[in-house]
Amino acid sequence: MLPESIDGMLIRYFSGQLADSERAAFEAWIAEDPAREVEVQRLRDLWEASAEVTGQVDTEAALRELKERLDAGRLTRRRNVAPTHPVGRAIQPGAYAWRIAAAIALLLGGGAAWFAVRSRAPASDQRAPMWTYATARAQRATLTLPDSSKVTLNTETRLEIPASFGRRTRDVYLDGDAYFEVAHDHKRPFRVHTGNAVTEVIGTKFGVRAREGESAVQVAVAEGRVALSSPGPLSTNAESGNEEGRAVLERGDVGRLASDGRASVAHGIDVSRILAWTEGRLAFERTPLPEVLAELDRWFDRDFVLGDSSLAGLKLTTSLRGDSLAEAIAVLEAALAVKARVVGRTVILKR
Amino acid sequence: MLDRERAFDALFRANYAGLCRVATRILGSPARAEELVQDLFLWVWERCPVIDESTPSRAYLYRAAHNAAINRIRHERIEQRWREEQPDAEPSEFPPAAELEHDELLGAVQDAIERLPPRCGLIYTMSRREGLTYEEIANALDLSVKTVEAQMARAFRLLRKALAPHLLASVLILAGLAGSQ
Repeated sequence: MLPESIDGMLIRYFSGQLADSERAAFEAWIAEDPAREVEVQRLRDLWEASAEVTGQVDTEAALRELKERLDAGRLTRRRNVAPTHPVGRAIQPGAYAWRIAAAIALLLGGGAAWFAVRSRAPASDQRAPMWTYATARAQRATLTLPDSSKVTLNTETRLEIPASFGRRTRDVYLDGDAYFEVAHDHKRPFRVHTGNAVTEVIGTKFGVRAREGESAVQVAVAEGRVALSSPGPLSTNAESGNEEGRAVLERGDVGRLASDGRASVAHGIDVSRILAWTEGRLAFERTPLPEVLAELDRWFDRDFVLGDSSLAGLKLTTSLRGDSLAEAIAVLEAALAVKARVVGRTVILKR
Repeated sequence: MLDRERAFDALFRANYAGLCRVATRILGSPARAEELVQDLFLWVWERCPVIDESTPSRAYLYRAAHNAAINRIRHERIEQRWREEQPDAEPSEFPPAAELEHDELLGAVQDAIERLPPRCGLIYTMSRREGLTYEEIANALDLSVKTVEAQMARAFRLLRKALAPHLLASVLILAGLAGSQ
């Protein structure tokens, strides 16, 4: 019978981990006694049998099932559901579907603290089923996409992500104002589609603003390189300095693409002002007052109104904290030499 | 197909069954184990920025599966089995048999392995059945390599004691088994 402490040695022997001299000595010791030889052979059999695999796991079937869940079950499950669901009900812990929602973080903008997620039917046959994320007024949100890119949505903004995101390309559709931190992947270009523009990047940080009522899509680049182009007929703007109606933007550039396809680029801009909203601040530079008020409307979910039409021509340069309506009003009063009167959700500004 | 997807598929094929076996050992149910491991791979696909032939590593996957399984049973009575592990617990006795078929012997070995004390048996199966190195096991279970070695020796000692009556008759049978692999 082998001694109690022999097991470590046996394991190393069976695993072939003994040095030649050690092995020779061990085998000599085994050979000294026929009973020992038999026992060691039995134990080698036990060692070998331990590697046997039993039980049926169908790996291929499991892989197929997983792919199906990724393609169809997770992203398109709610394809035909019309009503909005507050995120608190849409996410079920442990449920297979909708893991992308686990990465949604709500940024409180002073308004309602839930985030509407709704799906809608594709606009055309060409488009695959989409997931839609929408913020309301006084809401912002940050999402993490499956490729680890992060998107921060400003107020009243809608982002659509096709179910096929990430398989060959990374396309998203934007209506509103969002900030993108795109994970680097030169094999899968990241494209933000807005109205009449496509903003394509490989990996970078930039903001895209495409608001209804504004005449141009604006792209501000914080880092990296971004190509802004119009998918329609080529524009012919010499200012852009790039061929074929495409503007290539780098850090500090702000590109604008108008609805007629004309692109223009301004260089050396302090884009942190344009992107201040991502940090909860509102910054304006020579911004026409109506635009300022529209921004404040969305941010605070109020209705800012000019009591004097003469005020409409004013431009505002200021930066204010977004977490305080009272402070915003005070700043407006001081900067414009006006007095504000609050009636319900309306804020009236008069000289 | 993209590199990332190809690498993911390879990772899945190489590790799915082994991870399921390890998870089954802890959860007690193959169905729950498969569900857990599928969830793990879903998570990997969505959250790992890089997926290639060595990322995430095998140790990482086993660690994740192990932790997830432990978490799942944390609130169940099975957890007691893990907490009350006796240092010198012996596997239960097997009914002696005069003659053993190949499958029966294999079954006896598998049974004996299943009856090993929880951590000891987990380490032994991760090494012998799943082929992980001691470093990988140490990494996955947050132990030192020395501890893994000690547990391996302990497992083997317990097994040979439990199977002593069977092994005597099995020498010739297993010689044939080895040739059939």
